[in-house]
Amino acid sequence: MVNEAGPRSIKKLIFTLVFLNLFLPGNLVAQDSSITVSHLQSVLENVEEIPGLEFIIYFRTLNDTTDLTLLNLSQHADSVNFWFSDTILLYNEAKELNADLSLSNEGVGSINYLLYKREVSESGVAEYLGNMIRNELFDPTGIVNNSFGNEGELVLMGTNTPFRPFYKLKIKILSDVKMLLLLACLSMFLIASLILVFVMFIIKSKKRRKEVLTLRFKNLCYGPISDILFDDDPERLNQLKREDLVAMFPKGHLNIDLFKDVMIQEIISLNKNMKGNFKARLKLIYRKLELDKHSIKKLSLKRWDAITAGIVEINEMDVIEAVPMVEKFTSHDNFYIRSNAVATMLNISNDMSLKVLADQRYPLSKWQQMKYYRIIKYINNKGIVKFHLLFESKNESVRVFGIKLVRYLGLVDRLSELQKMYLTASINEKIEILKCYDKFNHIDGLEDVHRDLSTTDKTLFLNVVKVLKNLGSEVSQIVLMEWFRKTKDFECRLKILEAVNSLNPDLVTLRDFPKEDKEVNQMIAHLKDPILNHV
Amino acid sequence: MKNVLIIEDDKLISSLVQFKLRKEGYNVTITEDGIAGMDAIDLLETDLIITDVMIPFKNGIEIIHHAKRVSPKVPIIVLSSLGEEEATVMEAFNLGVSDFVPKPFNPNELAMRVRRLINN
Repeated sequence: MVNEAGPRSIKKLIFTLVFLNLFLPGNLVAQDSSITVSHLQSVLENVEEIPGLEFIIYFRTLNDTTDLTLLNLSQHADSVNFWFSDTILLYNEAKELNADLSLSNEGVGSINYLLYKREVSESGVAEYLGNMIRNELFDPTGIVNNSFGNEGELVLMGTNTPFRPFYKLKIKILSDVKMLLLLACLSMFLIASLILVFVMFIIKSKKRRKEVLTLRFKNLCYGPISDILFDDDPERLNQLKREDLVAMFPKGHLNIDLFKDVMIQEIISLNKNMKGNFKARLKLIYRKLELDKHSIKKLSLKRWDAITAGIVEINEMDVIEAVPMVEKFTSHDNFYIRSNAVATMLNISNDMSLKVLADQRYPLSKWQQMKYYRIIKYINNKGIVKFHLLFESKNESVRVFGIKLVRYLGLVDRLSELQKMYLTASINEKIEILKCYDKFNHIDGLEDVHRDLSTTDKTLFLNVVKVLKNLGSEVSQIVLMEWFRKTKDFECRLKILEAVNSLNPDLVTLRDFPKEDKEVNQMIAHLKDPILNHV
Repeated sequence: MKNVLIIEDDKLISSLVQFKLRKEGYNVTITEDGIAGMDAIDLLETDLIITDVMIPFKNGIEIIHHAKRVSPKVPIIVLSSLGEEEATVMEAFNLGVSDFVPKPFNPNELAMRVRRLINN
């Protein structure tokens, strides 16, 4: 700690010095631009005409008889003692006139200031000049000293006086808060852009490097994998130790994660494209090179894509010992992790009860259903899959998927279970159950189906009518005709009429319907037309 | 030594088939896209062509057309997934390809088919 304190203090000192150097008070202080009242006269004496500033003499005589008209003064209308001059542009002239008046007359004279024809005090003039200096409209240092007799002296003085800008640029910028803020924003933007470009460059170069390495590693994989796969002695691979296999690959490469990833990808790709004993050999290579450990290791990473990759690898290469680890991800909130974890569990866990699927909390998407269906279809060929947990699931989409499986996999023996479910089923479940009835010509549940003609859900209603069209009984014909009279919806009426016409064409004749109902007449004409009824 | 031309964009598969066929004593050339494949058909003396259907720049059917025009007697094996391109595979057969090997495939079986076609 003591040893560290020294360098820290030095760092602090250096920082302070740099800070002070950057922001020295001297740099921040602008040139003093104020003119004091006491200093005013000396300034005015040494300058030429100042824009907007004029002088006027007021002279108060002691005698009423004094006449100052000869000196171009005017007498005040209300006071015979009060005289005033015309406006004078130069202070020296005003001063001279005032002195003359005081010498030749008895009285008191004063020089007064006019700013744009309005009388102001000395302090007002001083402030006015100060403003002019700040706005660079008036330069007190540029006073022409008339005392210099000739041009040579003036030049000499000019060379002796060092050039000093009235305002230093940096001081001016620093004293302007808005400019400072603007500069800060611009600098931030510039720095942020530079950082972004730099980060992008690094990411791109890393990506490029990874691509190059991947390609290189792929080329390095082909030879050894081909050698191992096409070894003339099939038993030799079983006898080979890990060290022997590792020796077939470039030295040290199997310690590189990217090389392992490339190897796994290539093995999985081959596993998909090869059949016969090559699949078993590929899995053996995968195990012997301990690539399964690499796949399992990915499950403990934080990146979702790495975890998903690990799960996919475990699934493809049947790493059964990783099942407990994969199971933890079956309720993960990330869609891809969860989907692949469930797929892996279904595929390699050998759990025929489909519990992992039944316990799903999230609704199943169509993509997930397709994925799981392919796996269940595959495992259903290997053994007896128990579907009842799917029907009992708390998740409606799982129950619907379970019913779909009955239809897709031709599980006719499950129809009685579906029939029991029907009365308490949701609309989506009922629609799927109806599709099953329709596909397998299951007429046992027709009584419940008739009841659902009173549903307010149009999709369910149309599905009910569709099932009755194919499976309906005589009772169905009567019930359908009743509903035809009750319902007002055109599509529903048309479908009912189609169904009845399909069950018993004699029921659908014009004589049974009122002639004035044009809509019905058109429907019947359509259904009875040998060409149109197929449209 | 008989020459076999492989037109396949999956480098690993083509390398494996090449490895297997070389072990069987064939001289194997690999091209990874349709244009290079057609050039190879024009330039090389080939005894058998193995081609995928889905390859970059040209499809397998165009290659079969070209091969049948340039060297009609050279047998062609189509190596592809039947499920994905059934219509294309049927078209390939109509054009006169000698054999079709669906993926996933067994390299030993492929080598056997190559031997049979070349010997015939």
